[in-house]
Amino acid sequence: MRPVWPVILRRARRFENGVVGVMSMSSTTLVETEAVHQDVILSMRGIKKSFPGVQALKGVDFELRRGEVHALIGENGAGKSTLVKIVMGVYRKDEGTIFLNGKEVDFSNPEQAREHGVNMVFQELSLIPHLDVAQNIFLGREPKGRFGFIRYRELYRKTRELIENYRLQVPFTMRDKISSLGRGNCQIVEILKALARETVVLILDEPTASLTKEEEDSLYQIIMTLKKQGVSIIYISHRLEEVLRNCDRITVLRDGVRVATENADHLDVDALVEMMTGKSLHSQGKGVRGEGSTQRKNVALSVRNLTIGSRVQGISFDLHYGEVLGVTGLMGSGKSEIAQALFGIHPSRIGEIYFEGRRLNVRNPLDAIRAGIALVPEDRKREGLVLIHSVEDNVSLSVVRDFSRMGWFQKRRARKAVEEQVHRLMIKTPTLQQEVQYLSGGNQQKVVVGKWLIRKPKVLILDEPTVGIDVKAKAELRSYVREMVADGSCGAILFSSDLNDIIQACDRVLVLYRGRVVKEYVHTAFLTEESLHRAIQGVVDENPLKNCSRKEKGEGNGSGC
Amino acid sequence: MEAGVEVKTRESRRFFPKMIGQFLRGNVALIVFAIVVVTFSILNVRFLTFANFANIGRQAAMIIVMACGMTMVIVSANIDLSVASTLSLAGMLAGLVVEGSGSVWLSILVTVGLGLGAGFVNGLLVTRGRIPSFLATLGMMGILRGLAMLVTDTKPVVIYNEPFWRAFGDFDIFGFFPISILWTIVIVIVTHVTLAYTSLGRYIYATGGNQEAAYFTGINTRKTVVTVFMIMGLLAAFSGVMFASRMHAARPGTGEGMELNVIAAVILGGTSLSGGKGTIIGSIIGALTIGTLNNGLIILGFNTHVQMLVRGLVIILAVLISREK
Repeated sequence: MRPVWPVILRRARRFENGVVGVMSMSSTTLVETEAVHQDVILSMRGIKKSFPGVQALKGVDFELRRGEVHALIGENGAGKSTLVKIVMGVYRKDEGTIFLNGKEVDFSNPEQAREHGVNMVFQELSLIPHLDVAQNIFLGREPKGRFGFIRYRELYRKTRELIENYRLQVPFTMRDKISSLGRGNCQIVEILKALARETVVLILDEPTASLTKEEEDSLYQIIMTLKKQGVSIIYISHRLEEVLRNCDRITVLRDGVRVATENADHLDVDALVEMMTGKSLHSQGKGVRGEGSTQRKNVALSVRNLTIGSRVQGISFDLHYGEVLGVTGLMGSGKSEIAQALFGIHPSRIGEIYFEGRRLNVRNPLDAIRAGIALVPEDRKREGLVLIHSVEDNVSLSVVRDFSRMGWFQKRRARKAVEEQVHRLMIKTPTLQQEVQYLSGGNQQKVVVGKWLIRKPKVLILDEPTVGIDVKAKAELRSYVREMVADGSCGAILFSSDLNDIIQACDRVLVLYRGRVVKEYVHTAFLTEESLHRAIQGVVDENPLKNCSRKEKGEGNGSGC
Repeated sequence: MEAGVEVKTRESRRFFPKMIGQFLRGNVALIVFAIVVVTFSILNVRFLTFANFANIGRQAAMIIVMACGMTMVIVSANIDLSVASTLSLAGMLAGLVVEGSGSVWLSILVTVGLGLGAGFVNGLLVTRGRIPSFLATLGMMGILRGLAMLVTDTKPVVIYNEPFWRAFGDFDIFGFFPISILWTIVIVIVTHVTLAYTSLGRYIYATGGNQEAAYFTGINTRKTVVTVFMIMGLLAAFSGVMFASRMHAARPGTGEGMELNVIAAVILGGTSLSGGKGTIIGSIIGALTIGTLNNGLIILGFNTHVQMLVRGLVIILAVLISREK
């Protein structure tokens, strides 16, 4: 058990800051702040919105000042995306008012919002891969000549002007094809595309969710430059340190209600987590780690000399029953390739896989599943779920074969097993018949996990399971994985670039760098994010000269290398 | 207090139209069918008789049988344009074999083989050849129709074998119940049960809903798609036999354009063209609607051109209403 006093201390500190009674402060402070700051560019009052089965927003107030970076945070399903999509006119609000520059507005589609200077970079990128940067930026609004032909010279001139006007440093040229750019640069192009039109309010929906550290840094620099140019920015993110470091103010939503709006320098991660979840971070279990390492028994899965093209070069490791093995590394270090190879998806692999000492030939997922291997894939929407089908259908999909007699699917038996999983994983859904596309990200991920737990796998592989889900769901997922391996009947491999997950959930950690294992941590008890950070950058010899790891909290903006 | 009351009334006012709207959208096929039947019953006395309904059933039988297969194909996120060609080639072969050998069984064996074979080829082209089903079956549509023309050099095959007539089309059980309707009912039940209650059914829905996720869950999506196309081929071939035995003849041009009626019936029945959703029952109602529409318009004395026009309008209207907002 952890001591109680840090919690008490934190409470006391927040008391000084006046953040106690988080629910009650919402309406009163807004009035005050508005009296002080006349310079509000966007203000929303009492926004309500409901979808079939859920009330997503229950009367939310929000205000954005001119030239500020304002973070919008909350767990999945808290209503962040819904709120900004209402501003953009993607959804229509049920009730409430929106003022832009003091005038009431109600956009019925994103195009209308853009005409009024409100622009958003959506999570799903909207770029056309085989066109170049400039062509994408002016897509649909290309400068045209007399006969409707596109005037390319003007197009490139305007793009250059755009970049120069905002004094942006971009790590690509405007003639680069989108398909040749990384994910982070695509985000920057999306932002440029927004800026190409008169933009006063820019909304970024989880811009850094899948970026590397370098890409993130250049994105922040651009955001800071824009801020100086007077663009007001709404920034949605799950990464709390990042939010604290880069944003001026933070609004926290929980269950469709605004919990608080505060200056970022009055807050820390613990306080934010508490506001987001209504609970303290440390009370959300770390699982029962430690037991696993003493119980570590027989080898479940052995991998020898696994090579996949040039991405993975001769990797070997063992997975024991009762342990969680963490595998981490930067994007492109070969994590996902290994995860998929173990599940029979990469056909071009070389090397051997042994299950309980027997050679296993996995040519496709079915071979892997028969051997007792399960994969929670990286892209849950594309690879993990049938979005238009119900929770019940999705969870039971992995056991259709087992629950069938002579081809006859035993629905009632399956439903019982599904109910058990939904209950165990605490999946929030109105009914088992709800289509999973209407669930929040965290609950969708739980459905994917439930789909495999129902089969009681021997080896559970999780590929980036916590991307884009909230802190509470992350903690819950970690403790489910710990629970799974606790009785020694199962081993789990967690492939993740979220170092906190790795430290919290794993007994043993492998660090990959450019397709090779560069470091193994046999114990994780004293492992810190800093040393992991160094390792995933390929710095394993603790060379002080090359030591340019980014500190997690405070101390500059982390791009000083 | 006043505000609260106002909110309540506003919500209750909204409540009823919402319910009705949902019901309408969920059961478009049934409602359109009811409207069509009621309209024709009022307009013409001869419409609402058992004899006429038996007639509608007989005419719609082929569409219904193929719509059963097509529902599976479309639920699996594919399409099959070759069904009408399979139908005519199957009829031709059945006719030639039964006239040549005198054996009804042999002719059935040959047509079953043809249907399964055509479906297998379609399935392989789509799964192994990675050709979109629209193109693969478009090609097969031409090939099979060409073969049907070639076997007799476009001459029709007249069938004199009486057991063949009686087995599949031209026979009324107890003197009033058409045997083709009996066959149709059997097929409807079998396909409905397959789709709704078997593991194959679950695989079909999952494959159509998200092929990649289904594959990642250990479902053999290729096998599922090939199976679906084979069932479709089998049912199309059987429709050809039913048609030939009702007509006492097979023509190579039979059923041209019928694939579109079949697809229309399935879509009218609420199956999503993008896959993953749909029911056999819906498709049956869709097929009956189209059959009834044709029959009613004939009774009222309209020609085929008007039929086509009205059918087109009804399809567009039905899809417009059922569209999710």
